[in-house]
Amino acid sequence: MSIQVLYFAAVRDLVGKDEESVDFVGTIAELARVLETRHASLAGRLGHVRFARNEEFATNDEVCVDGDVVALIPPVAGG
Amino acid sequence: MKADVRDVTLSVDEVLKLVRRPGAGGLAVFEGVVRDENAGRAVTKLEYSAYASMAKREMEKIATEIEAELEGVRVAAMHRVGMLEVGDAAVVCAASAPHRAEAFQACRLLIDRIKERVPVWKREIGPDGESWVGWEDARCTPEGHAKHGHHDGHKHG
Repeated sequence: MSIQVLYFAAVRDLVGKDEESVDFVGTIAELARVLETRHASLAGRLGHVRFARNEEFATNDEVCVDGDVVALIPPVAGG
Repeated sequence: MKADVRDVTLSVDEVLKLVRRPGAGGLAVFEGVVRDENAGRAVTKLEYSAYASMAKREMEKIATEIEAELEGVRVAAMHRVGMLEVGDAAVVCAASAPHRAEAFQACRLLIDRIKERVPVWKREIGPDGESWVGWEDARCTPEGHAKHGHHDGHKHG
């Protein structure tokens, strides 16, 4: 059971890569904790980071399933 | 198509063409352009990046929402990514409606929602260095504060 995690902008700089595959089943909130443990550079930095699951903004209690693409969305700055 | 993300110069005419129709007597356009300063800092370039597939999808969704909320309105938008210089257009929004009030209103809603929700980021580049716009710099902790050059315009969290 694995999901693809995408990193963008400032978060990508902190993690040092664009994406990775993570063995994970659980909610978005749980995934945030897992990623903070996996990447020390993310610890305490996810407060203003939103999550998208399969290209839609996700809520904290949403459950990730096998094959999902989950993106970490730091504060957007378009326009 | 109501929205797109491009890595080439945006065309206002192309976006207007997407909303132009015989029943629309009012067309409104908003162009967001790279400025030479931000919060007191000089800016020479902005490097835009996006989660392109989601950005396009989110802009399409915003357009559909606005067209459902305001009767008779059509909207379209394009966002640019890549390295932009001062004066380059980063985003073009267009709206059409039977009359001007709804066209202005729809165009305003469109740019506001794009800025709020669309996954696009910009890295500000100027004589003072580079930083992600809207992201608190990791170095700016009470302990780390003294370690890097500061100026009045620098905002913390």
